[in-house]
Amino acid sequence: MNTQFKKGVLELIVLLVISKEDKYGYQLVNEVGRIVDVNEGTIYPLLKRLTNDKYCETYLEQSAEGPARKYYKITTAGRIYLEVLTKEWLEFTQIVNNFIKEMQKND
Amino acid sequence: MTREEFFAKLNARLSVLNEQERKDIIEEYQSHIEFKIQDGKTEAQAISDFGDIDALADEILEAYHIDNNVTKQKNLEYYIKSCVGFVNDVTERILSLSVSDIAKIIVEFFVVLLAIWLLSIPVDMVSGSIQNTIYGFHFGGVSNMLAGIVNLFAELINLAVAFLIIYSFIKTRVMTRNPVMPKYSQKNKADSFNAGNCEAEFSEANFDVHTGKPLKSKKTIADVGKSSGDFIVRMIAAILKICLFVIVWLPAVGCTIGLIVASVLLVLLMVTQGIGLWSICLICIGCGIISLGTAVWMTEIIFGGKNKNEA
Repeated sequence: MNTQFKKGVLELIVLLVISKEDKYGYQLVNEVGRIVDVNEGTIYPLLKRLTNDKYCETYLEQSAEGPARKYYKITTAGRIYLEVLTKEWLEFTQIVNNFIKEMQKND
Repeated sequence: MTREEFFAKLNARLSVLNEQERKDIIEEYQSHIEFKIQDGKTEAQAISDFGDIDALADEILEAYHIDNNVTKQKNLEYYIKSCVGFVNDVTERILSLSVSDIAKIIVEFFVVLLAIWLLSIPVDMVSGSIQNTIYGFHFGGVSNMLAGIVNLFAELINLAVAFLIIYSFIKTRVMTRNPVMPKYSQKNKADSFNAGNCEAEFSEANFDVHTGKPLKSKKTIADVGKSSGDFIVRMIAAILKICLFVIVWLPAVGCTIGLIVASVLLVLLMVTQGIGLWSICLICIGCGIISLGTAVWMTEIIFGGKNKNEA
């Protein structure tokens, strides 16, 4: 899929995933990777930006095996932002879809 | 590519980020690799999954909204501001802790104090035996002085250990509860990031970091996009600040240095008189807090307005 498409929707997907349940980075990368095929390295900078923008916050949790897990938790600001993003995405895709149908009909 | 190579390269490419940010992001990648290895992949595979390292670094920098103006001007003002920011953040962090958190930290602090005391025992024993040997030579006044110096060194080692432990304690227990973003490396959220310029500006910034120069001539490149009126206002503000700095801050710093020199002399005098170093230390810490407080207050007065202008 087009990389620019992926980039645009990645923020929305990441916020959606953590809106259901707090996730740690690796878990989140895997979950997002199931939906969009994206370089796993790019999710961390995005998470960092969301954290800096206060759309999510982090906390550390030790685990019995492996390294400590840094969990990402959505904030209220993040939920509001997610709502806006979802609405925008649905409106936008609907407009584009309608346009595609319209153009195909004219063929 | 091995893990060490990967992180060395990434670290170099991210050198414009401040240390804490860089550490945060690198820790994330480190644990990601470890999780992958746990899932049965090899280290090399895990690293190659990140793809091209330059593209990755660009991606990271883009996410950080790199502000080339701020990251390039790592001058005195930047450092003073980050010190003030650090003090403010620590205070905010402490104020935001709950009662149980504070109780926990106090208990931990006593454990830390105990650890410091335990660590000081071997040092004291070694210094004690050296002093006994010195007294054994019967040099009179000279051996008194030598013993005093040895004692001083032992106390200094203890102090350094205590300082390091307390510092790391504060850093891990207070600061990491919610990592505080240094406000000065972040570009204003409203500013859009020009991905196309990322490469060029990044290499410029890199060059600046390596030469350590303030990059005055290149600063104009960054200012081209701004109106000239804005530039003049900024220049005047900068000159005013430098004047204020010379008038207010330098005497304050001079007084502090004088105070430090005086306290060192005082400490030497007191050591020869046989007064405990810990009590002297308390006096020094008191003086330090007062002078630091004054310095922070002065800095706030001089530089405090700038944040509002920039935001």
